[in-house]
Amino acid sequence: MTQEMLDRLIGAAPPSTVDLDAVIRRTRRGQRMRRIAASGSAAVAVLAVAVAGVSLNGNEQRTVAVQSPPSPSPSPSPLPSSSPSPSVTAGQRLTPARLRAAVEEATAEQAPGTRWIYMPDVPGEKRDPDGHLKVWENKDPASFEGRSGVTRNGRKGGFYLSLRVAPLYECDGTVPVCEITTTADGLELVHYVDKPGNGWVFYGADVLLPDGKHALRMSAVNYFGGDGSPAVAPVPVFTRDELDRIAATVAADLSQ
Amino acid sequence: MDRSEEDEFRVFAGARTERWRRAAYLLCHDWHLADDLVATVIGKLYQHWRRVSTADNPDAYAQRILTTAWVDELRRPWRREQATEALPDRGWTPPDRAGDREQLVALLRQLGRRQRAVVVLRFYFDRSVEETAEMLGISPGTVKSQSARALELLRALSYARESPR
Repeated sequence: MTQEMLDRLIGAAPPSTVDLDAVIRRTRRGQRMRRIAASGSAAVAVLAVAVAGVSLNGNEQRTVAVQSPPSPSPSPSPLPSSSPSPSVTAGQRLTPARLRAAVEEATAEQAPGTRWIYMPDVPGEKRDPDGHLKVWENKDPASFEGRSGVTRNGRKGGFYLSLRVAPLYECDGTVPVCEITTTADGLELVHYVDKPGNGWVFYGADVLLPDGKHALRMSAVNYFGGDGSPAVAPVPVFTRDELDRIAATVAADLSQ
Repeated sequence: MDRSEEDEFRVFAGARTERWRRAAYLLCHDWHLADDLVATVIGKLYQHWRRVSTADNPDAYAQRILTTAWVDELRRPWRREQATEALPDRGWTPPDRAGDREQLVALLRQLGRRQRAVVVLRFYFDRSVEETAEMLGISPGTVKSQSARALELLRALSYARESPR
């Protein structure tokens, strides 16, 4: 599947109605209006920050104070793009190590007997040791990701993790199962199952953290390896319920 | 933005508009809406051009705006998908390969909107799984499952075109 093939299928396009000059003029006009609105509300913004309650860290408060009027939401403001890592727990900075520990502890509790093992992604990559989930941090935008193989009762499969400012998985009718529920801690959880063909089975659990912005996403798959690897078991190592419980447990842990 | 920055922006956007239009068409299979999406991309890029122009990958930034603008359309009730029976009346002659395009559109309609965003990023803009996941704010596992499904459908189209009748 290539761009060339897709271009051939699309064929010739009609003349464009995109007017670059008009878009630029409209955008400049919008920027001028926002500057006018902001200059009249700066004093209100400072007062709003003072009564907003506990924010995630000092950097965010300073950023909110100099930006245009804050949103009316009671939640802490969105993280500034310069923030080195998302801090989703009040008063405590999240790190890859902490997220990894939270997931491993939740897994030990909700799916006992599971072992984390190295799962190759691309040929020739350096092999990581078994025993832990691999978690790393991304910048701009700030987020965390993780992946690993898991094994239990003689079966193995893959596990993926991400934590970022994003909406939850949207149930748009394109997968066999998609359900919205609430965890014991009152957090919104979307559970879904996808079977895209070739024997692949994906279980997913997305939880919205209490700040209303960060989505904790977990996927368990029945293949082991990189993109396009064949299925190695009928279903993922984690059951659907186990994956939901792991996600809910980690979300509750991060919310403390 | 000073004059030279704006000139730089115009060159950047001008060189890519057609490609963005075609990618947008893959998303919404409607040239009117595709042009609207591209106008949105251009507006947002212009707003943030100083930051975008110094980013490692301005193209990735633009592609993210395009696909997230499309996914955001899901949340606007006045933008429900409408089947277009007639081609836009702008003195445009349909291409010779109208049959191929109709089959492509029929297949794309079977994909959800997020799946189409994955198709565009993975197979039209050649983004990796991780890049696609990051750009759409979804997990790599979701990208893999959705691109696998899309690939199966699009391969069926490719096979149908190549098979003797």
